[in-house]
Order: sequence, then structure tokens, then C-alpha cells
Amino acid sequence: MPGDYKWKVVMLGDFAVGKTSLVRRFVYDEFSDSYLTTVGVKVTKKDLSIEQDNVSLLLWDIAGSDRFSPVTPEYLRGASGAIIVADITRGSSVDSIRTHVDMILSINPSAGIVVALNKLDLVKKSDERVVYMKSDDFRNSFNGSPVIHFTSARSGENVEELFLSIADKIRKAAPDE
Amino acid sequence: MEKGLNNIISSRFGIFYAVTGTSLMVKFHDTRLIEYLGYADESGKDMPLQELFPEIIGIEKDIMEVIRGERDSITIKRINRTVTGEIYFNLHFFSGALGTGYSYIVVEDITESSMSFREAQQKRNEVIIKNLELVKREEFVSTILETIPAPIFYRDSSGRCLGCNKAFEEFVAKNKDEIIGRDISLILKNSSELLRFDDEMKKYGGIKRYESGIADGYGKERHLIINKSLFFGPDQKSSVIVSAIVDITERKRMEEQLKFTMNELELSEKNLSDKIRIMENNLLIARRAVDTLIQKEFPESDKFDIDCRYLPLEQIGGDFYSIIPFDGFMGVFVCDITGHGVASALFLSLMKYFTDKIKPDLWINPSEYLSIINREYFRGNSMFYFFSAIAGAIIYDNNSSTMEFRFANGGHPHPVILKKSGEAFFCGGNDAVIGLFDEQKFEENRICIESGDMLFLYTDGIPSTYREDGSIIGFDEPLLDIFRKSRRENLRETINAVINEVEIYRGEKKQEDDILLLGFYCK
Repeated sequence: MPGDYKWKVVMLGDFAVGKTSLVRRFVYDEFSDSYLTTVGVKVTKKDLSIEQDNVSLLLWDIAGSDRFSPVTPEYLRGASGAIIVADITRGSSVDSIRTHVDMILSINPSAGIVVALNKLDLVKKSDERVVYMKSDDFRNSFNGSPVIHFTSARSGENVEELFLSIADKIRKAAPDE
Repeated sequence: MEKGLNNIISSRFGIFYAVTGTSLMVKFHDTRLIEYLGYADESGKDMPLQELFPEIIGIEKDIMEVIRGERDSITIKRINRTVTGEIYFNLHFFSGALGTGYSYIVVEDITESSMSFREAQQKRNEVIIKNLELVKREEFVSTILETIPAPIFYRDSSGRCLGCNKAFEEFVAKNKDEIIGRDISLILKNSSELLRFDDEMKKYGGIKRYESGIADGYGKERHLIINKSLFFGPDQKSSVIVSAIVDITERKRMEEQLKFTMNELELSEKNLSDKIRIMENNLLIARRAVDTLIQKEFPESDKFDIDCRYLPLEQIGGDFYSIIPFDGFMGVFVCDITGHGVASALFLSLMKYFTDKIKPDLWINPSEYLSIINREYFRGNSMFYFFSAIAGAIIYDNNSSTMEFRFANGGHPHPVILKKSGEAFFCGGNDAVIGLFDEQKFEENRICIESGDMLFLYTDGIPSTYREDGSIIGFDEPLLDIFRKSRRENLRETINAVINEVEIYRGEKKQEDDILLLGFYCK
């Protein structure tokens, strides 16, 4: 039976990795080169039709975290899914993926997780780093072996796929209502 | 009561509130809240809480706990919305009185402080990003530095080493931990040469480049070119001297080797020059000796004139001739050996010996004469030197106007008879060169010479004359044509004309062999 679903999806990742840009590209199909840091949280709704279901994704664009300003765990409460974003050109942000995965799972063990390696437009696809990050070894190095998408908010490459992927993951995990 | 609370809270803290019940419908709300959140004012109507605050989706159960009084409060901090402009607020849910089934919702506007916070965060993040870029650049520069094979290090004004590359570590035989932060004098013994010009550079700046000899970390003496440059820090007071060392030890060794080799070469050249001088002296002596062997005056005769032109290629040529008068005949010998120089001189001495010592009756038996020379020469010819020769005699009778040229030919160009009429032809046969075979037989030829005829004997320098275009006079008709067109009244003029024709034929090309032309004119 078709249903109506509202799912909270949190965007997590270090600062300046492109979380806000991915949401803007997905929801408004816009992109801006200028960097404006996010503070607090901004919730944006995106309605989707998946098969016969109406799905509203509540995308929680949360301020980028680092060791000086960690993510407030309260933001993660009630999240059905999380998109962990990293800047493919910034090794430290890729290293942080593990921390974000562990954090969301510690608060919500059933949350669906996908990873976005963003700023694909800044590297060659044959780049050693890209080749490694496409490997199973890399994927399996994270708790729950999340699906990894290589995205570019600038060009829009794989952005739609990323959000559909998290919606699909949540939908499959959600109990029938 | 709520209105009263609203007024109190709003007036004191500038915040808004609404109330919800277990149905999660907003039962009462402040009209200013609707406006603040950017919704149309439908004051008085109940609104679903999730519609007013989609931020609570997912935590509805937690809010129900607050409404039921099971927990005191829930707060969602720093929610950002774009209404007419950006707003930031904290969303609080407070439990109402026990059993009421209500929760107070307080929206605390923090836009002003959040904008300031965002501005500060923006600057901080931009600094961090710049810093990351700088780190990347530093890593890049560091990588370049490490890959440069020349030792490079830099130090502050007090001589303390601030950094270096791998090549410097290898040069001083220490690792970076033992280098960085330490005085250069503690890193390398006798390091004063590395510090030369430092004081001058600190005063005047610039770049210095000098050569020096320094022992490396293993105590091995090195020849170095030291390049230094001074940099001032942003405060223009602190300075760093960067030194790059180019090891030219091997180059110096090669230079020394080269110098030694050059000296050796110079010495060898001198020895060689001395040897050449001795050889030239020997050659000069040999030539003088040969000069005495070459016949310059010819026997006079009422029966014929004799004349000769001899143009040797080098100081000592390989051609020889001898004309010896006897009663009733004139002995004639012409030969041409391969080669020139001192070896030819020795050969000419030998020929002179042969021709002088030969018995008169052998001159008129030239076949036998050449056979004897060939046999003697062949048996002593360990050097495989060969030569061509004509031996013979011009036999005459005082009562006759004709003469006979009786001769044998060992591989030599055919004699030419040039008639008074200008007609010319080759005479006789030709056998193998002298020294090639033992017991070689030589055919005897007899040619009649009439009054007015000229007989010419010559070496192959004439028929072997080449032109620039590669053509050669040869041993056939073209050679006879030269004789024909050169015929003059007397012998000397004819010989000169033949030589002249040969030179015209050769043109600009250099003479490549000795030329001998010996002529007899029958009166």
C-alpha cells in the first residue's frame, strides 16, 4: 500500500566539505562558488515519490564539525538516515568519516548511512586516491560498510543518486506501517 | 493565564511562545510567532506542530514525554530559517503543570548573536582552509627540497639550523633530529667555511657563491661550491640564511686527471716532435743521398738526344732510371716502386747498385737481365714490395740511320714511339712485375727506331693522372693522343709539351704519383 513518509536525514562532515552545497544542488538545483559557513542547523524539505510512496526528506544541514566544535548529539536524535560528506581532496575530512559514522550509529544504531566523497570535479577519476576509495577495502574500513558515492555539487554529478540512495536505504530499513 | 505569561516573557526576554497538547496541535499561539516564522497569520486556528516546526519530525515521541510531564524540557538549538531575512532561534519545549497535557513552546530568537557567531566561524574556517592550503604548499616545497640532490640547509642569524633536506643529512652523516635546532658547528666539524660571509650577508643581504674544501660527516675531504642567500622575516629583523652545496669533488678530480693527461700529452707531443725532427733530418739525408743517385746528365751522342723530366711526389720519389753508354749501344733502365720516402731511397740505392754492376753483355740481353734482378729481389723480398721495370739497350750502327731498341718489360707501361709524322704507338709486350714470382720469364722485344723518331719511357704517374670528374688518362688511345698533340721539333720541347698536357688534363686536382718521362730522339 502506498504510504506517506517523513524522514529526518542529517548531513554530517567536516566544515567546508560541501554539505550545504549538496543540499542546495539537490533541492534547488543551484550551486555557488562562494563559501558561507553554516552555524546551527538548517532544515530543508524535499518531497520525493519512490515507487508509489510519497516521501518527505527533512534534510538537516548541520554545521561542519571539528575537534573544537563537535556536532551536538541532540541534532542526531530521531534521524532515520545520515549522509556523511567528505572532501575528496582533503585527506583529513576523509579520515573523519569514520568518526561521523560511529557517532550516528552510537545515537541511532538503525540509521541508514551513505557516504558522499564530494568535489569530484577537482580530481581526475584515474587519480590514485579515487581508485583506492572505490575499492572494497576502503568501504569495508567503515562500520556497516556504507555505500559510497563520488559526487560533485558543482557539476551535479551523482547528487540525485546520493539522496535517492539514502531514501532507498531508509525505506528498505523502515518497518511496514 | 497563557496570554499573561506570554506578555511577561515577551516583554522581558523578547521571545515567543505557543502551547501544544497531546494531539500535537498548537492550541494557542502568539500571532507574532506566526509572523516571525514567516507563515500567514491565521490566528485563532489550531495548527499541526510538525507544520509549524518541521524540525521536530523524528522526535515526536520525546515531545510527547514532555507533554505528559515525563521529562521537563527539550531544546533544539540554533535553528536557521530564511524568512524575509535569515533568522536563528532556539526551540524549547517545556512541560506544563502535571496532568495538564500541555507543553509550553518557547522560540528564543538568537539571530543577532548567531550572525556574529557565524561571522566569527566564517573567518575561523577561512583561516583554517588557508592554513590547509599553506600546509599543502609547504609539503610540496618540502618534497621538492627533499628530491634535490644537492645538500641544502637553512639557519637563523645565530647559526642554529632550522631545516635541511635529505642530501644534507647524508652529507653531514646525521639525521634531522640531530640537525634541526642545533648550531652548525655542532653538526659538522670545521664548519667555519660554511659560515663564511655570514656577517657580511647579515649586513648587506644578497647572494654569495664561493668554492671551498670541507670534510663531510664521514671525514672525507670535499670540494664544494657553496651558494647562500639571505631572507628576512616579515618583521624585517629576523633573518634566515639558506645554503645550497654543490659537490664538485669528482669534477675537481677529473680536472686534475685532465691536467695530468694534458701534461702527459704535451710531453708525448714534444717527444713526437723530436722524433719527427730526427725523421725529417734522416729524410733530408736520404734525399741528398738519392740526389746523388738520380742521373742528371746524359751521355752525349751523335746518334740521338736524351732528355728527362722527373717530378717526384714527395721529397724522395719511387721512380728510378739509369742510362749508361757502351760501345755500340746505350743501356737503359727505368723502374717504379710502390711507395716513397726512406724506403724508396734504400730501394733506389739497390737499383743503382744493380745497374752499375751489371755486365755490359747483359744490357743487350734484357730478358736475362730482368730475370736475374727478379730472382735476386724475390728471394730477398720479405716486405712484399714490388716494382715495375724496363731494362734494355738502344743498339745502333754508325753506318746506319736506324737503331734497334731491345728491351724486356716487367709490368711497366709500354714504351711509346712518336714518329716524325706525329703518329704514336705502344711498343712490345708486358710481363709480371718484379718480385712477384720466382723464376719469372721476361719476353724480349725488339723495336726499330728510324731517324726523326722519338722513344719515350715513362712511369705510371702519367697514365694514372686523374681529373676532378674522376676520369683518367689511362694506358690506351688518350695517352697516345697526348703524345701526338705534343710532338715538337726537338725532344725537350716535346717532353715539356707532354708534361704540360698532363697538367692541363689534371686541372686543379693534386698530383697523386711520381711522374717520370724519359725521351730519346733518333737523329
